[in-house]
Amino acid sequence: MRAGSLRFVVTALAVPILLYGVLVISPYAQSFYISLTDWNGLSPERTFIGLDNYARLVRDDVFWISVWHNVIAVLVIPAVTLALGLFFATMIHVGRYRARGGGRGVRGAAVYRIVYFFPHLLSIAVVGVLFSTVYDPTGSGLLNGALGLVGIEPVNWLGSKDTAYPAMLAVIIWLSVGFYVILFTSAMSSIPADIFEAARLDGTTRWQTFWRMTLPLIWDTVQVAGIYLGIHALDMFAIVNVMSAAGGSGGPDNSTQVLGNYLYITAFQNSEFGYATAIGVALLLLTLAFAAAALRLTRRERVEF
Amino acid sequence: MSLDTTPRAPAAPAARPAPPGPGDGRTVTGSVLNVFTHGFLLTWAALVVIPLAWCVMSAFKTNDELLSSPWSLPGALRWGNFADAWTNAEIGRYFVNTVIVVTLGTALTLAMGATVSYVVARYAFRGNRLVYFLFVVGMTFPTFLAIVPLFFIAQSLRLADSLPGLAVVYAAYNLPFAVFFLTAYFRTLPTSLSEAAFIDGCGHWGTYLRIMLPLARPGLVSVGIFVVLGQWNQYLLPLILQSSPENYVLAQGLANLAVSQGYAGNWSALFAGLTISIIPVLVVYLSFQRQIQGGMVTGALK
Amino acid sequence: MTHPTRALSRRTLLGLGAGLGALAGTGFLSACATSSSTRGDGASASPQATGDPDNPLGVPADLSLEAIIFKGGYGDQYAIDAEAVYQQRFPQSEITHTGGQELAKLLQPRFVSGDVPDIVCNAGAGALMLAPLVENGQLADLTPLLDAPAEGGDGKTVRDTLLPGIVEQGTFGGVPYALNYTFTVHGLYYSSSLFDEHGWSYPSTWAEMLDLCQEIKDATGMAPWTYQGKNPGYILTPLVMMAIKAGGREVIDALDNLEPDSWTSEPMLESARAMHQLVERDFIMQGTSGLTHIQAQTYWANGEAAFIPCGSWLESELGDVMPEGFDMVIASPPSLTDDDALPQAAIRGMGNEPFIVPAQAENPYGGMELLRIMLSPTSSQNFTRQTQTLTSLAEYDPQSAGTGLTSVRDALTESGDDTFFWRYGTWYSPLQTEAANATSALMTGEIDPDEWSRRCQAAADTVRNDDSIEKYGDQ
Repeated sequence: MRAGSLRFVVTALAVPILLYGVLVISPYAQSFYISLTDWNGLSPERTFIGLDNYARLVRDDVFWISVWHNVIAVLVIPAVTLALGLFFATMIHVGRYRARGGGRGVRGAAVYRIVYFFPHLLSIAVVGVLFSTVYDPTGSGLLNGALGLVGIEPVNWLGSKDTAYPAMLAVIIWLSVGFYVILFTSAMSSIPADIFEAARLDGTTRWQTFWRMTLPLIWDTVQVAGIYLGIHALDMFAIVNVMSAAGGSGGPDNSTQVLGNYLYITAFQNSEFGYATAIGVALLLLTLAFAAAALRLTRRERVEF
Repeated sequence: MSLDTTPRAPAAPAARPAPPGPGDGRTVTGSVLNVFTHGFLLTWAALVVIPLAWCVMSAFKTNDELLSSPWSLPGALRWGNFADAWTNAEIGRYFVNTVIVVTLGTALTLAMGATVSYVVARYAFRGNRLVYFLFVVGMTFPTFLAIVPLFFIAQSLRLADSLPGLAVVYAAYNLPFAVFFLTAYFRTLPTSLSEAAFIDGCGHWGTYLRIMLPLARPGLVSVGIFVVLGQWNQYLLPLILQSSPENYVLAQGLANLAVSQGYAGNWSALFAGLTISIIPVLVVYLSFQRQIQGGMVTGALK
Repeated sequence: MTHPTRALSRRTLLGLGAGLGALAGTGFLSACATSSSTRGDGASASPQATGDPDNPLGVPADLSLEAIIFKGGYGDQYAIDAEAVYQQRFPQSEITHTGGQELAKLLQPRFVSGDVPDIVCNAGAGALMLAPLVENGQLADLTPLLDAPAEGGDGKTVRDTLLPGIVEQGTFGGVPYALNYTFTVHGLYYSSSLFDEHGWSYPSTWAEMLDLCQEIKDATGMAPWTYQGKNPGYILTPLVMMAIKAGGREVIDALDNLEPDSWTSEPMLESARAMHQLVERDFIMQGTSGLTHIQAQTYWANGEAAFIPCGSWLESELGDVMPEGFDMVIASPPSLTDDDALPQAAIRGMGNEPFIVPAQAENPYGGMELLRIMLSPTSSQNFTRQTQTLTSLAEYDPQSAGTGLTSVRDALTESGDDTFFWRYGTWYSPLQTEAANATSALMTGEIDPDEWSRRCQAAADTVRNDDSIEKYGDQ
């Protein structure tokens, strides 16, 4: 190594590692310990109670409801978002296939790409506030107003246990789809055009082309997108916190409760910091379980081109 | 289903639509398909645009008009709603706060992330792998797990309830992504240039700052776009760390305006506030949409 | 902060050291615990009773004073005004004022470290929970303040000038740890001008209420009721109020003491059935359960619904949203039966905006002195002028009063000694949360009154049987 290398390495890394260690690594490390205490976050005193918090988690109905809602989000959001993303990407990509351009995009593709992408840039909390008004349960909300035009009675989207959580999942899908449309069209356009040309000459249908060629060829991208979406779907915090009852209760009646929000309420409203960190550890386990499952499920033959 | 046999044009860049070819022999099936294609695509475009357009329209309405019908046009262009949101509801302050925090936070993230990545990618030292691992492992942990201790650590370091403090916390939590991405980027850069720089007597910092960092610019832009968006989006960290309203960021302030109790609830100011928080993003996006989309797609495909 | 530089260096070093320590596997909290193990004995020392009428609490003139005040719908100007009076009295004292909203987030770390302010107005959705603070011995006993002569009180003590119930509401295990500064009355709001216009009169029994609701619905198409759907605690209040009026104060004792039959008792069930009739007869505004308090109250103020349950902060909360000539007034919910234990006028009246003095405060008597100043007739008038809300001072002339506040005063006068309050919600928040959730389900028709009472009772039983939850009732 060159002269002074070590000194450079040390001076360059000192500040980032110090900050990262104090602000990121140390909180993660401490959490495991705090989750074994009954700390209420109001005094320095805390008692080591072993696995009591975890035993309580197992018996806690709201915890299991939250886990279930997180699992639903992880299954539904990536599935629907990827399906819609692939569908629209295919429409944009091959829509003009039969015309000129050999699969280089439908007329107005650039406009679609700009418009579709836009929700992805908005803050989730802002979108949550916006959709709270869109979902207004009376006829003056955008959605119920639209349904009213076709004679459907107003639906109490966020006030009914049956619709509140699906309504929130729909918002996440609304703001996610666009990005994946752009991602998949980019991936599709990196596929050499001759492949499509050959398929076309073979008389393959669009449907077959999609399943047998396009999808396998961009499978890596879809897989990464699915994992990325799943990890984000495990969050749900901002949307639930903003769109459920005031103070983000996860209501009505815990029907929208998710782990992130339950953790937040437990810590910052109920002052049960020990128990809250136990929920955090559970969330970590769920994240790791999802990542492991996703990697296993999505393993497929790679298609080289 | 049959596909016509129009000759294939040379591949155009993906972001650009193929030039419309007049009279290029459409089949009936093709036209029907085309109608369907556009039908679906337009439906989704409408689903995206209508809530946003409705929000902007509603921002001009009075409370009465808001309650009467979602479709009625505002009786007048009431710019006063915006003034009300900007000053009385303090959306203006939240907006400025957000810009400060995101600017500072992104700058810190890039500065620290690039430095760590450069060192990890280009210097062989004991613990190199450990440093890299330490940073990258942070990506797999949910932030929720950290918030309870972080809340107290940030308070004791006086980082809580301060705009620069929040930027520092943002930077710390964005480092894993920045290091992961930029380390890969620095590894792809040619070594010959830095060798030459050393021969010219640039020194370690000189080589890094004057030669390598400019070379890494495309990577920095890509990471920068991700980081800006991520920090603009943050809700959890400010919610925990910013306890005084004068330090709220936009997302937090708007949510507070929408749900907190005990305030004179003003619906039209809420829509105006929403509009204020949406329009600038739209403008920035439309001005740089090619770079933003490109940067994000590159980031995700890496 | 009182001494920003000194505190900064100590705490920064502490935090940094701890952060680094955690990297090596030790905890930040252990560092914290040792650093603050020396507790100030603050308020436990007896006051230096000076007998000085201008300084009955014997506040050391040179000590600084730090106040942290919830800055919500009432703002914090009233406290700043009181601090100005304090400053005149103690010119050497350096006063620090912070207006905040997320009080728990602001204060939690400070309680942990022991670096606490001298007085806190602990209100709002993000307020600190008092019960754990009491358990930890982190709050000062406010007895010295209550026994001090009241400002402008003609020789009466502070205790004697307060509205009935105020001292009790801040009492935990026999010791007064919190003092509610504002006084709110809870009931049903309606527009008196609208009622006059249609010739409706406020019903005194539930049967009349149902008749009136039918008439409102038939005559105008207006919804008879709405409530703050996303915060179902609002609609739980009139339900509990009606049960208490029907069954008398035993109902309160049963609820507060978590008794086995507290939620399944006849008055509670009867009241739940009564409220459920609003659902069955479709008297609740479409979509109510999905509305935030702002939405519901705006709809109500715009004449979409006739009644809304709320506390008397509603007038200030509505602000400009209230139309001209709306003339909102409050009334206690109707009597359930003809032979209710309490008169129809009996109303829930209780303190809000609890003020606390941390036990480790450097100037606890300064904090109490500020509160004593705020409880003077002059400060109370100032507060009411700014907020259209009463303070917990029993007798003062609020001077300017809108229709809402006037009706609040009238309701309170008429209720007199029958005014009541309950405390299970403040003491046991898990019970309050579950009862509110069950009420949300009751009011959307998802569950029936029997199921509702079973769910609430189960929540009360859980709290009662959980030894880790401190009990405050008088079993």
